[in-house]
Amino acid sequence: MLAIRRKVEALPEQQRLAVIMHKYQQMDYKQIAEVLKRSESATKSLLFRAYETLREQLKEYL
Amino acid sequence: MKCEEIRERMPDVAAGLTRATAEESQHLASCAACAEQLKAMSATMALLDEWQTPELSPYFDVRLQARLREEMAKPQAGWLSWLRRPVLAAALTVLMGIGVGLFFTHNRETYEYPPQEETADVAEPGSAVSDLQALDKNHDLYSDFELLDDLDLQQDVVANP
Repeated sequence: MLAIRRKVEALPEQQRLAVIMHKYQQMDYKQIAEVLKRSESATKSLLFRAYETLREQLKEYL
Repeated sequence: MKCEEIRERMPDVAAGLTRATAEESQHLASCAACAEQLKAMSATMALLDEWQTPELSPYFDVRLQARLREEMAKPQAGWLSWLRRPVLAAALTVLMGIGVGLFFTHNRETYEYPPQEETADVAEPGSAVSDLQALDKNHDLYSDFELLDDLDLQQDVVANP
């Protein structure tokens, strides 16, 4: 669990914020986009890249 | 449906926040890459579920309000408390010294140059003004001349009654 937390915290700031807001706060794309001051489309791409990064980082635990 | 279109919704579908539409399901059935990607993302989401972000204590608000009330109830320090600080007192002393020094320096400057007496303008010789100024200066002398004139008149009166 600590390793998972560290991997999330090691993400670039924008990706980390997006993951926390989406996964742990259950915020929708529109809300996340408002917080990050991005378009909704850009937010979706950002989230996709963040989860792909986490997938690579957490591969050993899968 | 294109792969790029389904990728935008993949995090929501993988997190279980929304279901895949019919069109999306059809694409996933036909596109192995997208299906694999969704499967891996779902596994990542499940792993992330193991870390629960800490939640605030239900008594957090109550304790915060109590601390705020305590701070507001504390007696406020008066303005004299500022003077107890040594640095501030030293700075004020220096400022007062500078002010007193400036005051006495300014007064000494004005004392060293007292105002000069006014001198009367001297008119040009031969003018009416200069004649009047001469009469003013020699008033005593001219009054003696008038006395001499009176003396001469008296002698004439005595000689020729």
